[in-house]
Amino acid sequence: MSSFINHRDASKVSVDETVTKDNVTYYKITVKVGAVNWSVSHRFSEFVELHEKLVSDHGVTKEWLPPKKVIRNKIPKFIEQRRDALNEYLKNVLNYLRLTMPYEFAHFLDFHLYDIFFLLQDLAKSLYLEGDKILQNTAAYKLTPMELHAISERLKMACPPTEKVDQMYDFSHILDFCSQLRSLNIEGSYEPLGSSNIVPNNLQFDLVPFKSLLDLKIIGVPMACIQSVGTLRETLIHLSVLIATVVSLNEFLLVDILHKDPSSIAETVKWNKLSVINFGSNNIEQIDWAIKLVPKLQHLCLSSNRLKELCDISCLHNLRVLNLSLNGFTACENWHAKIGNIVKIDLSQNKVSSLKGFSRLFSLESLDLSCNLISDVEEVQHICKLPCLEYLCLTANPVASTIDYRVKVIEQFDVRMTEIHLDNEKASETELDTARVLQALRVVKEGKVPSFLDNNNSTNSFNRS
Amino acid sequence: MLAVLNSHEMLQIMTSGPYNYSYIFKYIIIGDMGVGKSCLLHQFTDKKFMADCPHTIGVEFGTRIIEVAGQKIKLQIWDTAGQERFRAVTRSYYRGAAGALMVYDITRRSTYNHLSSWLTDTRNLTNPSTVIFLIGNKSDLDGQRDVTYEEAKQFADENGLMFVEASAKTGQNVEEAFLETAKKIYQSIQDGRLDLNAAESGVQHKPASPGRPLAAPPAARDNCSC
Repeated sequence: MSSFINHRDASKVSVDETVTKDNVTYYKITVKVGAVNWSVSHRFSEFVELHEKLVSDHGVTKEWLPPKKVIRNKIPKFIEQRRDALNEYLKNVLNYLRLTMPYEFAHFLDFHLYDIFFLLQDLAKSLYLEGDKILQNTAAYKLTPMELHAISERLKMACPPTEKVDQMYDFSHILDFCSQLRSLNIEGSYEPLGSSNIVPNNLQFDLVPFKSLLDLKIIGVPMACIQSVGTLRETLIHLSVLIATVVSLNEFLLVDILHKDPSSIAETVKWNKLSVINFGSNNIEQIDWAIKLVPKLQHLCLSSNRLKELCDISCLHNLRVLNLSLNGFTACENWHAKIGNIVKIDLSQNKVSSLKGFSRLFSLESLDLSCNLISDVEEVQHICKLPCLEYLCLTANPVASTIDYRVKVIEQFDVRMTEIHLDNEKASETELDTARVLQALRVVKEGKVPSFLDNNNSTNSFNRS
Repeated sequence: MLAVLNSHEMLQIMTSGPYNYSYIFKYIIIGDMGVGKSCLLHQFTDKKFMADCPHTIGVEFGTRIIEVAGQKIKLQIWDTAGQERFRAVTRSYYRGAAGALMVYDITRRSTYNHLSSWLTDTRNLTNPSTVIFLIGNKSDLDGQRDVTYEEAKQFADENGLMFVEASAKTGQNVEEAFLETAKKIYQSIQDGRLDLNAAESGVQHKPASPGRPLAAPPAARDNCSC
């Protein structure tokens, strides 16, 4: 974005074109500040309005503006003359007011949309007036990459005082607000902003001003934009980085660390409070070692990435929920050796065909395997002994369209068959009855005594039904 | 997701009331590199001592709400970089400061010797009513003392500055320095010496929010030049 303060002498205005819409002629002004440019259109009456203020408050010469004309002001020749005159006018005014750049003139030229200093003036005012109310609200506050970039750059700038003197516009209100904000959303874009050549995702910013942030959600911002996370490591609890083409977790977790090499990483870069991470819809192929920097992690979501295999994350003792839906998992081997006390796993929409790898996840309560490639109902044998399992989802697997699918699955849970929610539904009485018959048949076939005959409780329940 | 916060923490946030104040005072902290400006700020805002505080790049910012004569006041504090190369940046923050904390290190005479140049800057760039408070930091290192209390006290008196020796490490006198400055500023408002409407005053009313009228202190109303 532009920085007029640093490019006063490299700033230009011109009126290049006219556009007539609904019988009104608009003069299109092109503003160039350094390498940044944008355009803004105004009709003649708006020039007049501006001019009056500039004449009365800022000593602009009254005669600079071309005169009004009431009749025959629509003919092309006249419009062209007026465009030329307005072009001269703006050039004169800019030259005259280059050093002070009054608020009215800056606003007329849309500096408050594209320029660091003027954008922040308006932001300061709105946060001075509304900031406390926003902070009392628990909903997340949204700042654009542009605003964040402006804040970061402004902190490095030596700003001479400008015309606008009201303390309401003071930059400190922004930092005051940022230092207290708890929940922040940042949404990026590759589209040029408004009529300018500013692409939000090309702007760099840091998160240093945020000293109390608990919850951060970044959507569609490439990690290269973020230069530093400041004190976030000490405060952040909940982190989402979505649709950001992230390849590796360390892109954010170590975003401000130059050498991302495990041996040189100190304790100080740990994210000590972070407990929920969502890196959905990125390009992650592997959960890398950087995950160890988040020792308190409870909930990890890597939905819609490019994962094929799980690495050892057993160091995450608090990890309870793992969402790996929409990835490329095929075989899930020995997951008990890779994850500790996991409670809930979502592996929906992968390519899993066997349940063997889950057989020893003894803490598991919920397993979602909908939309996978499980075709053999006997696969359930691997997980039917898991003592805590209550929720199992196998919809949209080949196995789910086989005959007596529900009954055949439920039957394998033996004494716990009444407790299982299969595809979000407990077994009905009819299903339980059929399951028990199947179980009896299995006993005969395998020559084993079914466990419900060993166990008094289950015998009772059998008799009751 | 704030649901991660437990109810106790949530309650604390709600009741500690960071939004309940009547005035905003703007402060600036200045002084040579390494005298402990950032540590003083940190000690004041977080009540913690930062052992290995990194050099400040440009400016840092902190805020805290204090109470003076029954009035809640929010301090917005600009902590500037001491390094010479940031001087241009830090100079732009003097303007509109109601209080200036000028810091030197009692164990390094050079930081004391530079005070007159800091004072010149402050006097030139702030308004006449800006309260300047001199802090001799690192009072916990009495054994390595290089500047006596008496000498600094005399300098302060000659220049009409308030003065304490403080320690960002132990927290000794840190509260006092910030609070005394605020008291003096508040006194200026009461006396009508400070014009709240002037852009350079560094003092502002909290914006009145609709539906929750601001209970403006009567004294301020009387002296307001409007």
